[in-house]
This record gives sequence, structure tokens and C-alpha cells, in this order.
Amino acid sequence: MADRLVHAGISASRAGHSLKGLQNTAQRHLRCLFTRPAKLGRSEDEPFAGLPGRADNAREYLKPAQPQFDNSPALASKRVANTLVMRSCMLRTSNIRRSNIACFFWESSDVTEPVNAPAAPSSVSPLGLTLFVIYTLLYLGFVLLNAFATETMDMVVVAGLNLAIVYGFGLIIAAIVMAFIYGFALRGDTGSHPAADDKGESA
Amino acid sequence: MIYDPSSTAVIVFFLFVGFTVGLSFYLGSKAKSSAGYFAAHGQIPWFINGVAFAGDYLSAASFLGICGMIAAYGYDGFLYSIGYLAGWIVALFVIAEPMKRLGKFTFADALDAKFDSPGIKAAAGISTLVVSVFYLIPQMVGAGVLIQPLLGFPHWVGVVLVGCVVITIVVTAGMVSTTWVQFLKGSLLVVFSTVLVVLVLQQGFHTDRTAFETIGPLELTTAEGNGGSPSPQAIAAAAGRSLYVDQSDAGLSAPWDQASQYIRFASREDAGYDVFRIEQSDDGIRLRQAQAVTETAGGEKFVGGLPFGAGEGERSLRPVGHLTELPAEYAADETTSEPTSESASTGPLGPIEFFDVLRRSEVTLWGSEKLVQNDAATTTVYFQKPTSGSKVLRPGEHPTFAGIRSGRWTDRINFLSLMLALFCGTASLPHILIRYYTVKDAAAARKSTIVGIASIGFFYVLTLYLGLGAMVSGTLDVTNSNMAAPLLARGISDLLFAIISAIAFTTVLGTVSGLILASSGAVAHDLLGGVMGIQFSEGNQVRVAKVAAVVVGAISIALGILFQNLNVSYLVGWAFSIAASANLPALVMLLFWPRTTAAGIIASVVVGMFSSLGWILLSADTYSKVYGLDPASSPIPFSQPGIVTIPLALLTLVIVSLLTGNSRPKTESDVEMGTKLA
Repeated sequence: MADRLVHAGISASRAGHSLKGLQNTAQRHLRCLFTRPAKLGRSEDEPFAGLPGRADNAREYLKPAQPQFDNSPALASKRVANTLVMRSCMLRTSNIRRSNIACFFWESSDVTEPVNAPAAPSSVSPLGLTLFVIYTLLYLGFVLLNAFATETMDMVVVAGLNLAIVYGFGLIIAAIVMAFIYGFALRGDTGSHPAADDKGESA
Repeated sequence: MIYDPSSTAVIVFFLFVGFTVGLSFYLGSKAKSSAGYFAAHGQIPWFINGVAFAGDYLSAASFLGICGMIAAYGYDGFLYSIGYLAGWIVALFVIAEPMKRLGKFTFADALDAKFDSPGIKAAAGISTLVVSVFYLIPQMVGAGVLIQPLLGFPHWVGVVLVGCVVITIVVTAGMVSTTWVQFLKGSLLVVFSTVLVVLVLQQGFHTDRTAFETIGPLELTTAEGNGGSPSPQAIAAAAGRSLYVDQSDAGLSAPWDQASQYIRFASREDAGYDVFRIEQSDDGIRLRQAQAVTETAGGEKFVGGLPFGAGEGERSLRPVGHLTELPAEYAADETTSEPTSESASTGPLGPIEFFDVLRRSEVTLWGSEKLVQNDAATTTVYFQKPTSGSKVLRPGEHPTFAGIRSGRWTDRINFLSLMLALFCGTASLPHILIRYYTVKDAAAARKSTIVGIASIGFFYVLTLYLGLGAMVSGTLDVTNSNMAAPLLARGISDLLFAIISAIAFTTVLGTVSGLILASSGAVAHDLLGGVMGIQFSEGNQVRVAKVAAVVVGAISIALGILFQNLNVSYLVGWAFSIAASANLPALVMLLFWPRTTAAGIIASVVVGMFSSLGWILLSADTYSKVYGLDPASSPIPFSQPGIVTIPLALLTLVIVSLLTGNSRPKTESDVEMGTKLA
């Protein structure tokens, strides 16, 4: 069984490790995880039943990753998963309902798409995408005018300036202005996961 | 042109270099770990990092190449400014924050974050190396070009000097010192370019018609000559000059006999000749003075028939770049007061007025033509091209962009392809991407990108003023437009020239150190650590990266000397195309398409890299400029690969991912969680 378990993870609280935070984030992420109760345990009350030797032996998984240089995200995430399994074990002994803690397992052999998986792992804010599309259209317009209606660039538009100068400067200024709008709109954002946040709030 | 190295320039230059290297050693004590070496512990404040973005990005191609191109051809160089900046929009809105979340030290980290696949690390590491080397060559060539006029050293000394200084910077403190060097250079570049632009606007425009002689219009009947044009003797008589007779036995005059568009008169001042280009117009014949350089097979150089040099009986090329006619309201004073007066000036101009006045003026640009002789002596004739101001303020005058006025579809697609590569290239340059790991979180990555965009955008606005100012400054080197901005400064003051040249040199230092750091990370972290699975201890990893930095530095020194005659901005264009084709499709799809697989990413990077590289190597541009072959024999319809190879890489990714779609990647939240809590 142990070799079939390729990954164990649990949703973690970004905001800190308070129990309340852990519960909330766990619920939020529960939807995108999938469990296989038939194989993993008898009921939801025994979320660790699928682990070899059950929760008592979860220690097997709790060994900290070997200290080594390659601190790659993949390794790190395995280590975190282990740590969180341990954390969950500790929570079991407290009065908090176990169902509030989600942990998930999947097997390498027959992985299927989770039903409620997020549509895309995109983490780009909608405002960013909107601004990106606007700017791309502006740029596209400039390039196409240059390529297919070159003469329009000679046209004097304002104050003796031709379209080439006005549009060209306009693109540079637009980039700076949009960058500031974006920065201003997200000024309170500390760089967390906007997509996940949105889902969490609505849940 | 002959440049006299001024002592001010040398002192300022060595102060700059000394300070940068000193700073590196000071910071070196703080960066012993891998995190310190590759990513400055993620502790660089976002504002510093933002300016360092500008320092990293505004390479010799931006400062020297764009200004030079604008000075020589007008608006066309500004198209690069627009494209280079637009690329930052992709970086800010699409790439910045996910890059920071996913990766740790290198671009390969981010690409591989969801898969943990050695194949991805290998592909991304190799693409980083390829792009970096293509980007490094022009920087090194630029360093050599710059050091020549500044310190009077030969080209190779410049390249070796830059190489050694950069290796010292990178080896002492890795990302920490590189960041501070780039911050320093970025802020100095923007501040002093602003000073220069203010001075240019203060000076305004003035006409100068005496710098180079124009004779005529001469009224000659064509019947006197052969082939419908007057004989040289008749022209000489009408102009009141005597024809030049070549007395040397070098046989340098042979190619002139075929070139009927030029006429050579004996000089009045020395034993050489004055060459003029014959222009027929409705009111007669005009003779416009040109300049000629002859290089013999033995490497001897002659200017106007005399040996090249600044001494007695020698000649050098004269500086060029003049405004020949101002709009009526300024020229009016001249005609009413004194008809013989040759100079009119506008006085200080506003930033908008500057373009308006220039548009209604006439400037003299310079063209060149090669006359080749059987014994392999080559004469290059530089001739005046009086051009209306409205033409230098519109696209389509530079050979690269002239295609948009040719009406041919392939030329237009070539233009679209170049603009697409510029748009997509920025956000996939490895030395830019690694800068996202020097700040503490995604928000800081975003903020520093915004600062970067503001400073880079502001600088690009200045490039148009700098380039056009240099165009009419009367200080340009007719053989090499890359020196336009420093020479413009020299026209104003020697100290400013020294400072601007030193900044231009640190420009090269900043960009080269970023590139070498990116390459050493690719070797030590991605290829040796990630692919070959060699587990280094913390200290060894840094040591290996430093060795890699020295090796990459040495290779780039060798390539910089080898490719010294290649056009600088041309090579940067290659790097952009390869980066955009190899890296961007994989990066964007990884972020937006959940079905992307490891195999899809590997295939996309490999296909993008090799297709763009192959396209470039087979293109007409490379045929003529690198191999010296007939460009018409190239099998590729247009030179810029982006418009074909970027979609190709994208398509490859989609197809391969669909075919290998049963290995589900972790969701980003898993990965993010891992990196955050690790």
C-alpha cells in the first residue's frame, strides 16, 4: 500500500497555523480534492485509515525530508504534506471535528481528474487580464497600421505631431499608466493566490 | 573617425568601474549560500529591484543601438523601443506573480514546479544557455566598440576588460552585487539621459550648411558627355575645380572609373581628393560632398586618397549629422538680414515643439556604397542624403523596416513577426525572469515590475529625443552609428561625454552580469543538480555556479572577439526570437491550461528553440550578413521567425500534452502551499 501512495497532502492555512484558519482553508480546498474512501478507510471518520498502520504509524510519513540542497517545490510540498498529516493527527485528539480536516490521497496507478478540480490553475487577476487584453489590442492596432496602412503614420494629428509619434508615445505612456492602475488596484494584496481567495470567499 | 581618449573620460570611467567592483567585494561577504548567490536571499527591496530591472534590461542594444538607429534613420529605431516596452506588459500582467510563486532560483524551477521532471529542467536549462549566449555576444561586441573611442584600446581589450570585470562582479557576490550594479546603472542611465535630453531641448536646432560642400546647381548640357550625362571634365570646369589624378601606384582609382555617380576633385588643402556625388535634378546638376574610405587587401586604410590618421599628410573621416533647413519662421531672419549667413537657430524648444520643428525642417542623413576592386581593395563611399524632416519622423526608412513600404506581403509579415517577437520576448528572457526571485513575495514582484516599467518606459521616451538630437548634432561617426548617444554628449561637454560613456560601459556590465548569472544558475542548479542529479552541499553548489560563471564568461569573451563585426541589434533580435519561441508558450500554457503535461512542455521548448534557431540560420538576413551568400538563395521567405515559431511551439505543446495527457500535474495551490511552508 505504501508504495501506491504517491502523495499525501492537506490544505493548509496561508494566513497562519491557527486552528480556525486551518479549518477554513481545509474546507475551501476540500472541493478540489478527492478521496477514495473504499480503499483508504471505512468512513470519513477515519481519514487516516488508508495509511499503513493507520494514524499511529503515520510517523513513517512524518520523517522530515532529508536535509539537502534541492529544495524544489515538489519536494517541499511532500514535506509539508507530511507535516500536515502529523498536525491533523494532533487535531484528532482535540475536540475539533475531524471532518473539518481534509486530507487527500491519490494513487499513481489510476488517477482520474477530480470532479471539482479548479478549471485552470491560473493565478492572474481578472483586472490584470483585462488590462493585458486592452494593451494587446492597442499594440496590435499600432503594428497593423504600420504594416498595412503605413501612410496613415505620416498624418499630422495634433500640435504638429504625426500619428507615428502620437501613437508610439501613447503606447509607452499607456503601459506606464496601466501598470500604475494595476499596482493601485492591488495595493492591499500581499501577493497571495487571488483565484483561490475568490473561491474561498464565495464558498 | 578618430577619437582622442580624454583624461576626464578615463578617470570617470575607472572611478565607475572601481566603485562597482569595490561594491561587489563588499557585498560578497553577505552571499555565501545558494539562496544568496542565486536570489540575493529574496531580500532585495522591491523599488531597488524595479530599477535593477531597468538596469538589467536597458542593454547596450537599447542605449547604443536604438539611439544610433534613430540617429541614422529616424523613427524606425523607436519601433524597437515600443516593442521592447510592450513586452513588459506581458511580464507584469501574466508572468510576474506566478513566476515568483512557482520558482525558486531559475526559470526552469518555475516551468518544472508542477512536474519535477529532469527533462523539463534539461530543456529549460539549455534554452536559458542558448538565449543567454546569443544575448551575451552583442553585449560583448558593444563593449569593444565602446572602449575603443573611450580609452583608445583596441576592440579585443575592451571585450576582455568587460569580461573580467563582470566575472569578478558575479563571482564575488552573485545576485546581490549584480542587483546593486544594475540598480546603480539603471538610475544613472535614466538620470543622465534626462539631463542630456534637457540640454538638447535647451540648445534647440541650428542649421549648418558649411560642414559639407554642395556645388551647384550647375547648368550643363548633356550632349557634351557620354551616355546622356556630362563628362567629368565638363563638370569640373563648371565647378571651377580640377579633376584628381591618382599618382600613387596603389591602383586605388580603378573602381572609380565605373562609378559615374561620383566625381573626384584634387583637394585644395592637401594631396588627397574631395569626392562628390553627382545628382541630376530639373534645374541642373548638384555636386554634394561625400567621404571615401579605401581599405586595401593588406589592411591599409586611406581616406580621400591619403593614409588614415590625424597627423600631417593624413586624413580621417569627418563627423556628420546636420540640419540643413529650418521651417520658414526661423529661416526668415537669415534671408532678410544677411543672405550669405549660413546659420539659423531656433533657440530652446519644448518637448512637443521639438518634433513639430523637426518635421518641417530638412536634415542630412548619410548613405553608403561599396566600390569593390579586383585586387580586393574596397572603397566605401559615404554620401549625403538630404531628407525631409517628416520622413525621419515616420517608420519605414531603415532597411529592416523599409519592407512595410514595399507593398510585398512577405516584408509585411516579416515586420509583424519582429514586433511579435519583441512583444513576447521580454517576458521570456532568462536574465529578466531570475530577477523575480530576488524579492520576498509575489506582491513585491508585481511592484518591482511596475517600477521597472515606469523607468524603462521613461527612458524609451528619451531615446527618441536622444537619437534625433544626435542626428542633427554634427558629431556622428559616419561609419558606426552605435556611438550616437555618447557623441551627442561630447558635442555638449567633455565631462558629460565621459559620464555618458562610463554609463554606457556600466550598461554593458549590468546586462552581462545578469546574463552570466542566469547561465551559471542554469548550469549549476538546473543541469548538474536537476538533470544529472548531482547533490551538492550548499557551499559546493555556489562554488560550481561560480566556476560555471567563469566558463560562460570566458566563452562570451571569445565569442565577443570572434563576432566583432556583427551588427549588435541584429543579434539581440535573435535572442528575443529564440526566447519568445522556446520559453513563452510553455510558460503561458503552464499557467493557463491545466492539461499541460511535462512532455508537452519539453517538446514545446525544444521545438521552439530549434525551429527559431534553424529559421534564423537559414534566413536571407543571415545569408547576406553572416555567410556572405546571396540572400535570394535563402529557402526562408522572410527573416524573422517569431510569427511562425511561436505558434508552432504552442501547437506542439497542445498536441503532445493531449497525447500524453494521463499524468496529472499537481494543482498550483499544492505547489504554492509547498513553497510557502517549506
